[in-house]
Amino acid sequence: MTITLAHYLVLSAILFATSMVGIFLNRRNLIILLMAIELMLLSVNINFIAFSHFLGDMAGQVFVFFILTVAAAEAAIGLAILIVLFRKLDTINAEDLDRLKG
Amino acid sequence: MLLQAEFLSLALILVYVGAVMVLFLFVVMMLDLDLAHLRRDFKKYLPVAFLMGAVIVLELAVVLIRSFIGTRAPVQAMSEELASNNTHALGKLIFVDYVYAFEVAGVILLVAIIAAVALTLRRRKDSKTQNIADQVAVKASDRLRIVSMSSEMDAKQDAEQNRRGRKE
Repeated sequence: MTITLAHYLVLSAILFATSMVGIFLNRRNLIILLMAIELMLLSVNINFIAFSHFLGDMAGQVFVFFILTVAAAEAAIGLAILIVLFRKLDTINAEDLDRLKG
Repeated sequence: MLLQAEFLSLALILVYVGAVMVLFLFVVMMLDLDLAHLRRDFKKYLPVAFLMGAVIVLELAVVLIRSFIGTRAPVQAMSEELASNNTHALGKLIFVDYVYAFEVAGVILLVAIIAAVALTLRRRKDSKTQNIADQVAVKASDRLRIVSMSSEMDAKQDAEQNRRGRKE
């Protein structure tokens, strides 16, 4: 059986749904929320690479590069904010973050 | 193999294992978390979450398999030159066609570094440090005050006191 474009797309859809389930289940834990967002970006990357191969266009791979950059920057800043939050409030529970000017 | 994206396959693994995973690991180790409290309602959300996930996967699978199951081979094959040397082709594309976007990506990473350092940097109150700029900028008038005052005794009294001292 040859692997068709649909297989790659379904794989990335499963990855996306996994991360969405993760967000639903761990709606308190900010670290896991960040990880789930990272997984979502990864599933988008799989889509980009699959289409890049099947349409014979390299531009898709370049965009994977840029998504990778943004994902890394987002993880770094998100975790830095998380650490500041933990120092200040002693929690990373998303439900405790209900005040402005913390 | 690897959808002819050999460079990205390795780059993604290296970035995610080397950078993102290590970052998450450091943060998880650094924070002292009360996991039991964070997972309190885990069981309550379990059925709803799995239902949502299954529905999304099924819907996407139906749509995607219907429309894309036929495309076994690339619709438009990559040219032989691009396919044989993926890294070279990607580099050419990034540094020629997308060079502006590439530089913006570099700036984004720089901003991320500076923001992460600036956010987590904390000045300790109990550590004693020198302020070099203040030390260099200090003037004599800041440290030494010259007061003009009259002497406390006049000369005649002084002489008499001296004489008395010699007698004793």
